[in-house]
Amino acid sequence: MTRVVVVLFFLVAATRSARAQPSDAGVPDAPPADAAPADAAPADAPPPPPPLPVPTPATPSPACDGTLDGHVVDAVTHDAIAAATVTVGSELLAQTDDHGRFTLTRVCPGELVFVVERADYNPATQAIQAAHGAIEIEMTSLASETIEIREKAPAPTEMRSTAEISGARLERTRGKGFSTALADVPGVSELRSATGVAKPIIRGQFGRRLLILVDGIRHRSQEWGLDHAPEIDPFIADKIQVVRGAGGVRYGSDAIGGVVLVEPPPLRWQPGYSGEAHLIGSSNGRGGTFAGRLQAASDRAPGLSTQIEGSVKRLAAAETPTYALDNTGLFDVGVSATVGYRRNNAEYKISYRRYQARLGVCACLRIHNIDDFLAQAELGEPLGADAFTSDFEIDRPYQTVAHDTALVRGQWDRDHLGTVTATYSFQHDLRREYDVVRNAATAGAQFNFRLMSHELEAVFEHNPIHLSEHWHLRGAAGVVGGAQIHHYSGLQLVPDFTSIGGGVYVTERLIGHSTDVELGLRYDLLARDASLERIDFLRLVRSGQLAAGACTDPGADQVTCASRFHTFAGSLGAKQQIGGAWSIKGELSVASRAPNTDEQYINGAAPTFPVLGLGKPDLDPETTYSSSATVAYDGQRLKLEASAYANAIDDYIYFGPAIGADGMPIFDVLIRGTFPRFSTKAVDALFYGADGGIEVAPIPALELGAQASLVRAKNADDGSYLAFVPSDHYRGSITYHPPDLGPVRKSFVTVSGTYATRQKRFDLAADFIAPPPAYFLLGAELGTETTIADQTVRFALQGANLTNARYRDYTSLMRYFADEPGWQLWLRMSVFFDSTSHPKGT
Amino acid sequence: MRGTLMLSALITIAACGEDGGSTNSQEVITTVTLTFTKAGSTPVTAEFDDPDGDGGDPPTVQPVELSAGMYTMTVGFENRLSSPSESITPEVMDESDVHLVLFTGTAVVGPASPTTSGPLTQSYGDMDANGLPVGLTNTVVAAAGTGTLTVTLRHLPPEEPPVKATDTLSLAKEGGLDAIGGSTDATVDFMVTVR
Repeated sequence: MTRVVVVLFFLVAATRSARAQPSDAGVPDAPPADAAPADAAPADAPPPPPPLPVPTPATPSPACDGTLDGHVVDAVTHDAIAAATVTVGSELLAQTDDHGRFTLTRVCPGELVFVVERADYNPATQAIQAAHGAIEIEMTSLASETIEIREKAPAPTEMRSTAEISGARLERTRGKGFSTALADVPGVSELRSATGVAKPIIRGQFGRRLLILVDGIRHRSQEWGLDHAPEIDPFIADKIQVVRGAGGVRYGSDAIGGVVLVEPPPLRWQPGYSGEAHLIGSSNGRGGTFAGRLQAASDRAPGLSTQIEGSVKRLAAAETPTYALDNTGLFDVGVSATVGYRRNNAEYKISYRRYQARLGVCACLRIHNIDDFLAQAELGEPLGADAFTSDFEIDRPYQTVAHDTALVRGQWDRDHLGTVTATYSFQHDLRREYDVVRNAATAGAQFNFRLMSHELEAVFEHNPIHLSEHWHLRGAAGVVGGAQIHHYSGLQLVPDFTSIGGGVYVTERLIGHSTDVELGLRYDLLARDASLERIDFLRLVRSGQLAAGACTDPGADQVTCASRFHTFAGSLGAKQQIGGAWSIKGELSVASRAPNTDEQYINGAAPTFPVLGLGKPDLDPETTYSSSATVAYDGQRLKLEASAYANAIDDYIYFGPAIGADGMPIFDVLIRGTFPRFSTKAVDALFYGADGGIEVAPIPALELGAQASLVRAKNADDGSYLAFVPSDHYRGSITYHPPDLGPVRKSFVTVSGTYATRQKRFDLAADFIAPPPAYFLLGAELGTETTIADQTVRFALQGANLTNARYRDYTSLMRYFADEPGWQLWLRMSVFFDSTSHPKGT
Repeated sequence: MRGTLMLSALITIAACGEDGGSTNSQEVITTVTLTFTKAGSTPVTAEFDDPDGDGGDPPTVQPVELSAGMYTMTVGFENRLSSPSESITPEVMDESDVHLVLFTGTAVVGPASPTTSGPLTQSYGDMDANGLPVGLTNTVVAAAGTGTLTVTLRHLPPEEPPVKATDTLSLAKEGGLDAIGGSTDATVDFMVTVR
């Protein structure tokens, strides 16, 4: 059925040895149609002749000291071709890497004839004369009646330190929260709230300074609240990528702390169906999770692909070693449906996702009055802990969240230009918080947040432009636009707002055989109108935060205060490969983030802590100047990555204790007692640190791993320490892979330990209570895989905090009230099925 | 851009209404009023008032100025943020089994106060359905002296075992308010002078 179309042409091999040929010998930049030699076969010609006979390479001799850098690309798009084999004669000499590269060493002088092959391409044959230099080989793809979109070359390596969680590593986190899945990455920790769910902290930055992209769309929610965890079902991810460091150019100028990319699995295009199902039981919380995904494509509807998935998780309140964290039960549901369609050089996707959760807040929380709060914090255990129980019932206080995302995406390939991708998305985030109420008749939530976000993005990625055999240019340019509406109701807290924003960016990368240099620029504009209740407006004016004339219509019921922010981002990065396994990369960047409305307009008791919060309406964007250097070794038995960074943030928007003229903290009298005053202010902050990991396999069956994360953060204005900066974390693990036993394969046993030091760098006025002591946690996991009815089934038993240690974590809001959960076991069963019955492996 | 705005406006309109914040008004207290009544004389009142709620203007507090003698002291709670202003006292009375007003400070000798000598000697004058004191109505004997009077409205949730119990006051007296459960809805200080 497949009509093989053959266009075979070689584009030349210009080598740059001592007797270098003129560099225009290869016409690499000319459009391939024009460049094709006259003998190129017509489209319906018979299959190509077999590869040219090649001589056996000369046997190595002292003169054979040449090094040849090869690069294999698609003749039309100039995209790199990975995993192609390079043979000379009958000898397999190399395989191309992800970037289409290969290197031959000990090359002898004289003619060498290569054959480069990959299943979906016509074999390419090329003869060269030199022992040194660079060679570029172009391949033409096998065309068929149903034109398949060629698999794109992977995105170029990030210049920042990155980590990818996928496959077995991702599976290990199934059944746990979204941010727990990331916490294995060096430099990442969690900010746990009093509901037990958490948000990630990357190198000391979290919340609004951290972007989370789900399927390429920026997750828009109430990320400012310390106790607001991202509303994301971790099961939708096939791969999670963590970019440590400012990702301002590509993802939004406010990504000054880092970026988390949650990527769903690629759709299935091959006729048939496949999917996975996970059943997870959890001992602490006596609950579990069920999650499944089904992908299908049919040959009766060529080019069409569908996917549905869903997950349900239900847990009772967790238990510490000595008492239950009463009321911390959880019930969440995630569903999604996606349809994809491919035709010619275009691909379309439409997708809808919903996540909803009901999260109980620990009954141990006491935040309505500072005296109650401090008294509680000094007790060893929560007041009334004897009566705490672990049940599924969720009473006040609790939160409900629902997050809907709809997206439409089109992607068009233009052979000689590149790819255009356009995405429209709509997100609806609804969060309701139900506080303990005095009046039993009070129904409903005390805090209701509704955020609607429309976003439109168009990106053009041009095909690699070949500057020479050695260098080519890859890049993209994009425009983004969006509108947001925020509606808040309930107890006095934050204003409503509407905003419109847009941005443009361009990024170009010069790629050589072992050197990459990347430059990016971005500009964003945000126009936001906050709509304040008249009483809140007057309150801001009376407390001296806002000038009476700063907003329009000060006499109306709703007063509108407009803000306009212009923000820029820029980055310059370089990467150098040294030998086969070592690489170093470095990056310098600038990014700025506009303030949020809570930072501008908060005036009243803060929702998480018993403090009186005062915002600063005239805040300017904060700007970070960051630098990082990463060294990596990627060998057979040893892998390591270590990274050091320093970020200076100008006008860092910091919510911290207000200090009076006398140098003492300011207190305010409220009807619930005397509260410390916290204000939003612009300070100069400095964040620096290092993190890294190493994995060694002294023998194939044994793996040893170690990681370290260190972060330091200071208010450069007065030398005080910033709050919620994680203490030093160290992690070590040993994994043993026993030999396969009949149908039981890929078994493993892992024992791991995590040590967190006590945070010694803190500001008591901001933290209230000195940080908790250091702790050590022991974990273990055993797992195996087998085949049942031709489908892959995996089993795993995982344990955490196996010594049942009592501990509190510095970056957990729970630390003021109660211990963290005690020992915990998860039992997982995962089935990976495929109608074509080829067991899916990772 | 205009199209997006209009679309946004439509969504906003559709979204309004259901998130009504009005149910929250009885959760806010802005004002605590003490009224001292002595037979045959004009009642004396003292008010802690923060009419714009937390933040904004600081609250105003009137001093308590009494002559010696026996008084009936009533406590009133109000929300002046809502319009018209709303009395919270009937609600506290209705749910008196989970509420308790405590009187402490250097001016107060009484069931919850560890102070041994002060110008005011307080005793509870009301009871909830379980026969436990509430504290909206009290008897106070005033003698010459000065000090502070702290009035605390505590919400004691109806858990098992109930947080409000026969020993609640004596626990507070021995260990302070931190020794009893529940949460503080209001706690305000008054300066007291008895001539």
